[in-house]
Order: sequence, then C-alpha cells, then structure tokens
Amino acid sequence: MAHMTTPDPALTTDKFGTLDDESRPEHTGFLAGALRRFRRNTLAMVGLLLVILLIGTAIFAPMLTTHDPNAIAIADRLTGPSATYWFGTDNLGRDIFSRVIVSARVTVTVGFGMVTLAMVVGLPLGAVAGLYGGSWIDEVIMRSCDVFIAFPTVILAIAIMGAVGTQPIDIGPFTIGNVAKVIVVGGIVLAPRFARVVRSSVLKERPMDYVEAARSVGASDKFVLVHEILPNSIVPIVIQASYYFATAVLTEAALSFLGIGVQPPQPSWGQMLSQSQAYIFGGDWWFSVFPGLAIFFAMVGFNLLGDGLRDALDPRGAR
Amino acid sequence: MTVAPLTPPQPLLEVSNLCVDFPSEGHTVFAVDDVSFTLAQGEITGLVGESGSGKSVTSMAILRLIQPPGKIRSGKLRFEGQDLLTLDDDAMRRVRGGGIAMISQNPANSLNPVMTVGDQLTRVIRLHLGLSRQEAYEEALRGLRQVEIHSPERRMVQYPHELSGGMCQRVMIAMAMAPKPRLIIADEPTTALDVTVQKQIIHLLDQLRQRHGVGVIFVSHDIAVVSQIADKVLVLYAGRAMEQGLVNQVLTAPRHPYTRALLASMPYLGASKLRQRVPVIPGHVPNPTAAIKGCIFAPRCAHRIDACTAERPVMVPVGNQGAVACLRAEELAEAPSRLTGVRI
Repeated sequence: MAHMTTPDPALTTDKFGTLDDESRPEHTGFLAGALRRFRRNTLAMVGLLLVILLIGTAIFAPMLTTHDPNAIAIADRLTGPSATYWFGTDNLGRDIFSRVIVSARVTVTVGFGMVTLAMVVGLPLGAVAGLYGGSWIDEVIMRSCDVFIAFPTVILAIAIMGAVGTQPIDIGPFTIGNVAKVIVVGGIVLAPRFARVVRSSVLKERPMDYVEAARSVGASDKFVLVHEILPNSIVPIVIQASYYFATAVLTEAALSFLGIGVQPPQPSWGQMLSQSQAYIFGGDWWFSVFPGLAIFFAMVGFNLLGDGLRDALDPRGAR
Repeated sequence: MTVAPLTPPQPLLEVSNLCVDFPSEGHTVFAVDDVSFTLAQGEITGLVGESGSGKSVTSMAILRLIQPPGKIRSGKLRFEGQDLLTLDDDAMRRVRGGGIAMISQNPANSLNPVMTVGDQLTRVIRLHLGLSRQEAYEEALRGLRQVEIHSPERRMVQYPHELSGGMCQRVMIAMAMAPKPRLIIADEPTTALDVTVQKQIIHLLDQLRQRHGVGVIFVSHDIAVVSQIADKVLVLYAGRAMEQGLVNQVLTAPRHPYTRALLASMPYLGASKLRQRVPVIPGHVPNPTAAIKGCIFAPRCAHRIDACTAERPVMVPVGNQGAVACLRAEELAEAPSRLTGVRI
C-alpha cells in the first residue's frame, strides 16, 4: 500500500465527524498498530508501570533497602512507620520496608520460573494436541491435563508441596533448593492450563487456507506447526502468559503464607503476612498492610498488563 | 525442461475410477464416484461443475489431502507412472509441491499472514531444492519476475496483507512453480479476483504451460473461464463424471443433457432484457449416497426415460476423444437441440 503524501480528506473526516485512528486502513504494520493501541490505553500503561516497578525493585533490591532485612532489633519491635522505619517494624523489630523490597526479588524469580516452566512443558503438549486435534493423541494429552485442571491452582500446589515437603532435595551433585521446588510445583500446576490455551489457538489456525497451502507444497506436520501455526497463534499465548504471571505470584504467596513455600530466612510477602496474622487486630496494621499491598499491586499490574496486551494485540476483541 | 521421457504412451496423470467417501451420520456421501480422466504433459484440463460436484475433492484427492473422516475408497492415481496411493507419507510429501503443486481458491488467505512474501517463497524453495539462503533468494526473485509481478524486490519484503488479491495469486503461482512441478492443480484460481485480473492470471498460466510444459488441472465453476484456457474439459455432477472431451466439442456440441442445461443456464452480456429469463435447471443437486440407483441427474433431466432411473449409465466414447455417460446420448444428438452452445 502506497504511503500517501497528503492526508486524504475523506479519510480524516466524514459526515459523522472525525474517523477514529482504528478505522483507518492499516499501513503501519501490525506491531506498530498494537503499540499505538497499547499506549492509548491508560489502564494498560498503569499495568506496565507496576510491572516495571516490580521488576526494577527486584533487580536493584540490595541498593534500595534501608536496613538489613533480617537484622533483629528487639528494642524497636512493632514500631509504626517512621523516618527510620518507613513501613514500620515487625514483631522481631525487622524493617518491613527492606523486607518488602527484598521479597520482590523472590516473587519475580518464582513468577518467571513458574511461567517459563509452564510454557516449556505446556506449549509443546498443547501444540501437539491441537495439531492432532480430535485424534487419540489429543485425547490422551488433554484428558491428562484435565486431571490437573480439575483442582484449583492453589489447592493443587499445596497438595504437591505438602507431599514433597519443603526441605531441599539432593539429587547427585545438584541441590534442588526450596525456591526451585516452589517453581517446579507452580510449573506443574500451570503447565496443563497453558497447554489448553495453546491447543485452542492451534485448533483455531489449523483449518486456515495458508495451512492447507503449506501442506499442498509438501510441508510436514512439524514444519506446519512450527513455521505456520505457532507464529500465528502466539498472541493469545503471550496474553495468557501475562495472566499466569499473576497466578504464579499468588500461588507463591499462598504457599509461603501457609509455611510451605519460600522458607526463612529468605523473606517473602506471603511469609510476612503469615507472621503478621496474630497482630492484625492488635493495632499494628503496618505489619500486614504493606506486604499485602505489595501482593495486591503485583497482581493488579500483571492483570492490567494482560488486559492491555489482549486489547492491543487483538483489536477485534470485545472492548 | 522435463527429465522423464513423457512420450504419448504414458500420460502425466492418470486418474482411474477414483472414489472418495465422506461418512456422515447414518450414511456415506460419495463425494467423488468413479471418476476417470488422463492428463498429458502440457495439457490443461478443466474440471467443471456446480458447488458440491466433487471438483475440489477430486483435486485434493490427487494430492492425498482429503481431510478425515473422508477417504479415498478405491481407484488409481498414477502420476508419471507412479502409483500415488501406495506411496509412503514422506514420498508423498515430496510429490506435493515437488511434482504436483496446487494453487488455491483464496490467494489472500493462502499466504501466511505473519511472514513476508520473500520468506515464504525462499522457504518452499529450500524445502524442495535444498539451495542456500542466498541462492533461494535469487530463485524466489526469478520466480516473481516470471509471474510478472510489479517491482518484485519490494514484494519480497512485504507481508501478504500489503498485496492485492491479484498480486497474492501471482505470488501463489510463483510459489507453486518454484520447485519446478510437472503438474499444477489450480482450484478456482480466479474466482476471488476481478475480471481483468482473472484474464491476466489465465494468460499467465497458459504461458507457464507453454514455456515449461506443465500439465494443469483447472478447477472452475465458470465455464467461460474454462473455455478460454482448457484443452479438454470434464463435467462433473454430484461426484460423477457426466461428459468429457475436447473443450470446443463439449461446449459447442454438448452431448449430455446436463452439460446442455448447464450451458443454457449461463447468462451472457448483451441479452436483451425483453428476452426470457436465464433458464434454470429445475430441482437441486442431490446428496450422492448409495440410495441413488440410476443416472444421478435423472430426477432433474428433461429427457428422462424409465431406464434412466434403473441403471447407471457408463462413460461411452463419442467423437474425437470424448465420452459421455448418458443412455440417450446418441439418440438425443440426432434431435435438434433447442439449446445453443456457449458464447465464447
């Protein structure tokens, strides 16, 4: 499509007023259009900002802390927010601000780990199931996934974690630490859900003309899947990954809250909430509110980002 | 150009008694029922029929790309003397694209939307010819020049949605021709295009045929288009062959009542508004199932006799290279037809 040097008046206005950008013929390319839609979406930008803030905090955590997150100062126990202790102190006199900051790192690590693992396992499973949709291969894969999907994520994670325990496991020269264990458990829980999303988007692309055209020039199943279908079904997969990030954060928080997630001395938001339980009604509100807010903003951030990506990448979707 | 010694005794493609079934609730649809035809090198055969006549199913069957639960029940497919139905999957994949290429109905949707034209072309070339990236690029560019696309270098870096329908079809043809196939199946290649572009595409196919000696199966519901390009024509109705022969013969002196009715129901430009309406064939195309005993066209045929519904007519040779499946073909040929042939 030729670029117009002067704007066509018929394109910018019509008798109903100014035409929206979206209705203009697409000559900027898909990604440019998606980027434009994303940037005009305030909520999406808020989500992105929160996510960047979270990841930034995780990366620069050691520089942002004001105290040693594990330093106990019994004399200063349960003091409210002040110039010294911005978010107050906990029942052992540890600085809550520093602990919240340091916990961001474990949250991001666990979130990334869970989603990556879920993708690595779920994507090929779902893709193969979708490619052979309706056949016995599809049945075997998806019914196995259904077994996992039948349980709520957190319940399943608790059950698995409860079964394997929180102690690090030594396998030969490797030690699967506590955090790694949480990641593996979350990955197992999320992978089947991810597979289902991938399968449905592969199924949607499979009957398309270009897939048939590829087959008619001698493309194999693998080629069709990797080079034709997946590049076209990547959008819903990316969107889902963003939502699963939120689920992963929540799963980690829940496990840690119950004491079967990230273990002390490594602080985490869920763990802090758990420790603050006894003090919630004692007037020491800062103890529970700040880690709670951290979880809240992380969740909101990833969900808004997911919504924004969905609206930007799929302009036909319901708005 | 071609390597195989394709002297008359061995046709390029030989389809004999092809039957394709689609099982559906309670009964089986015979989408293609006992269809036979041959195609010589450099020849264009038109496959003509209404929607659901089995044209596309026939062409997909030749590539063995019938979607399950549909399947090829019986028949033989010989391509360059090789039995396609006994080939293993790998060998069949090499035939697809390499020996037999397909140009489909919907050029705009047949290109992968997230990949540039150049990437798609070079991929196919590398898949079949095993060239290096650079060589494949050159080859792709050459292919685009051959289909006379405007500024081919620019097209290479463009995405399908940036091209017009006609350009997409040219790209599809370039892609089909790239691995140097000996047979092209063109399934309604011009249906989605406007008339001027249609003409150009037909001209292009004709040129490719002359230059490279490829055989072409040209599937179309548009008799006028087929008459412009094809040497021979096969008329299908509800999965069965009605009539076949040289295009001039079939279209100017149709033997089968169905062919006649089909030709008569073609509207044409210049018909006076005062003239009668375009004639239609009464009734509708039946679902071809086992229940139909005699001639499948009999229920709608103006020349039906009792024998027509009792016994299935076989293809009887008529004239020069023609054949017709009608009990009364000979008898009706004598009678003056009130139907005129196609106005080309």
